[in-house]
Amino acid sequence: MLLKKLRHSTNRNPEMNITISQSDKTAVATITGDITHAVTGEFQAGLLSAFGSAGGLVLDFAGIGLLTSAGLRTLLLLYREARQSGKNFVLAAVPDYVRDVMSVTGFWEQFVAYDTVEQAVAAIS
Amino acid sequence: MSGRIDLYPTFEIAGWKVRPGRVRPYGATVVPGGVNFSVFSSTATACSLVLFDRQSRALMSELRLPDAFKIGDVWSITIFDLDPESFEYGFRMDGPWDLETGHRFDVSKVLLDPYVRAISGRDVWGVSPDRDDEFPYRGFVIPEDFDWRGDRPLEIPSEDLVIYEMHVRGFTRHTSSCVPHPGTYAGVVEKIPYLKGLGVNCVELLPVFEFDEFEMSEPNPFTGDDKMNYWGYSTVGFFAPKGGYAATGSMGMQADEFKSMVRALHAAGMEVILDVVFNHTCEGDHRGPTISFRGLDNQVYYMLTPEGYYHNFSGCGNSLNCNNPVVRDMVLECLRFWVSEYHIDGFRFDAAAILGRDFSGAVLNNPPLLESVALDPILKKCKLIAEAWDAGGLYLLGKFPNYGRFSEWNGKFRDDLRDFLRGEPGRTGLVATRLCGSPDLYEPGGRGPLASINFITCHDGFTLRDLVSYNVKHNEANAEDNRDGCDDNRSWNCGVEGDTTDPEIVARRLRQGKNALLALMVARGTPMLLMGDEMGRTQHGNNNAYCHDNEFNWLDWTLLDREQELFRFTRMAIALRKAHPALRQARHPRSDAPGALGFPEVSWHGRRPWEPDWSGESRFVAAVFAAATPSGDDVLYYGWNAGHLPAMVELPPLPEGVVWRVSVNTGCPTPEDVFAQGQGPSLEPGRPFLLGPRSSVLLEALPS
Repeated sequence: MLLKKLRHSTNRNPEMNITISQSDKTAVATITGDITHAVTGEFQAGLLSAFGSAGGLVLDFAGIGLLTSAGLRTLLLLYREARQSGKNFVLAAVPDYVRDVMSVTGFWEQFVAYDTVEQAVAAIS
Repeated sequence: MSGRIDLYPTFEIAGWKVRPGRVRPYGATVVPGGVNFSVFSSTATACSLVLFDRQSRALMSELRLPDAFKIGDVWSITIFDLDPESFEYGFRMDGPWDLETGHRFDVSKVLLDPYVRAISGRDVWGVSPDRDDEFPYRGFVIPEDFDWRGDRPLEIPSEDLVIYEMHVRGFTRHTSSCVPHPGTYAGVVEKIPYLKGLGVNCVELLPVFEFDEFEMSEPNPFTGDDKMNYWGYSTVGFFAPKGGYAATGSMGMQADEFKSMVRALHAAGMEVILDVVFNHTCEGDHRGPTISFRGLDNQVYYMLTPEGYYHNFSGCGNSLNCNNPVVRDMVLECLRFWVSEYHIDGFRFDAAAILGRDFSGAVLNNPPLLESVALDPILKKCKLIAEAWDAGGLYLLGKFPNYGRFSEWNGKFRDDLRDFLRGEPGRTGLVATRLCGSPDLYEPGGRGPLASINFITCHDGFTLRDLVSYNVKHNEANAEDNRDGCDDNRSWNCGVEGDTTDPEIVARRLRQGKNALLALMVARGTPMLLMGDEMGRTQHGNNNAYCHDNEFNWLDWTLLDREQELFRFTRMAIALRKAHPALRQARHPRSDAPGALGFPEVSWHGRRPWEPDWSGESRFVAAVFAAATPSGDDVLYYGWNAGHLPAMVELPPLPEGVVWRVSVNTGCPTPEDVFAQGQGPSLEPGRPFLLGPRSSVLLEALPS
């Protein structure tokens, strides 16, 4: 791609961070900040690397900020890709308001989610 | 590296990398690498794209489009590296202000894109707008990639449809609805089990295209709150769902929420019809605001007088010039969009007679818009329902240019049934005609009973409970000295005006409500119920509750407890209609065509069999509907005594081994007022039947 990102598109979002920890075959990705269109590239790359050799991935959403329309779509695409390649991919500790948005827009029912990270890890390990 | 050579900018404007865009589709479209914009104006001399920051709402950039970006009358531009979630947009057009030629350009305005898919500014219902905001409505782009998971419009045959006319907000806004998101699309989803239990299989939503509930807001001295445009018959954007009806409106996800609602309704076997308003826009007359069309191309979008003012066939200030090819194209594109993108099953066209007028308001013989809609391949299977009149005095009931596709809100059904219900003389023959699907209106054109949407009440006018509780309208709360609203209500208060605890009157009102609901379910055509009529909803005599965002309009779900008898009756009457193919035939019944069990398709009776009384003072009508169907003979006796005295009725005799069984008798107390199919008591052959005052019966012919 020849063009570099223009300033207009990036300066409005608080930083998004992904921290990855791995135990046995399950990786836990802890997300903080907003997942918007502006960070979907990073989000996608971060999670794909988290998978690495792991057989399953838990997304810890406890610290998540805004999850926009584009963010939700990226999440769903990643989820489907993981399922297709036979890997587990679950959500954990999703704040009520995020869960609410996902429910009324028809996204929630497509995911598997657990109340806590521990429950999620136990379920897919 | 991208595989397309047009993915690279060729110009730079206001710091943005751009190139001349694609002129189609109109509006803003996310394309690889950026966003494409396209807008039409036949007369504008200059066009700028104005971008705002979505989060701060501050002006971000203004890009004046060079002539190289114009093909014909259409400007277009592709902007690269524009984050689709980061901006809002509008257009600024320069051009003449000249009333003689009908131009009203105003370069000081930022205009809304007519094809905009989502509009910000009224994201959360009722949040007071910033009245200093010069550009309160702005467009933004949304993903159009909803995962329908195999869903598509249901295509339920019209004869099997039972429509429930409802207001998205009013349906669940009341706290008694106990839903997590009151007054929203998500709220509707929560109540799907209720609708399914009631037995309707189609919801018709009052306008859901983006409108501004604050459009005419002013303090209401009567109620103390603000008058609002609660109904929403005033479109701001034809391609954008109302953000304030979405629990996720503040996040800009109204489209996903709306689609999710449609998918859930479809999964429950329920169609979705939209009430659409193409007769006028929210811009009003020459005193109104310039929001979009007026500033883009006034003389194209509106019907204008020779002096350059607005024709007002809508009663709302302006009239959309819908038979102009450009506007026709927009309307057609809009309908296709809602069917293909939102899986909508049909449309009810508000004041549709306007759609048959030309640019000067003259009535067209062969209106191109209606023809295009009727014959469009994408719209081919969807329901098209016309409100066949307008505020300019054009009344086309029975004569609406239909091309074999449009059905009509049958205002005569409403009027004649109401008259008979209240005991007016001289209505027996008319009611008989309405019960047959109004062949007087629809047989000459070969249209059949499915051209008739039968209704007794709708959002416009009294609720069913008010129809039997008020002789006259009581619109004081609208703060117009009770001058607004229709005076032709054909209602009867059953003895006293308004609320009463008189048990006799209360019982009479309940019975009259049942009589109306039964007639609606028996009549040939497609029945439409008004939200809440199944539980006695009242507007306290207000027959024009367009401006109240309060308990006048919100459905009070505690009524379900108090009106169990009426709800049970409605539910079972709907079930009886579904159980009896004789009531759902797609042709007008004939009295000279064989039906079943020796009866013709329809036969008329009086207090004695085969002796109908059509005289002026008769208030008794009875019919036998008979149909031989693949599942067997279906023969029903329907009788309605609208008089105030009981009637001793001899029933038409049946062949040996078949008896009349009671399905409905509104003269009996619950639970004997209605029975499930085949469960009612049988009547002794040859023995007269006593039909109570203002009561109706439905009997089934079944083996003894």
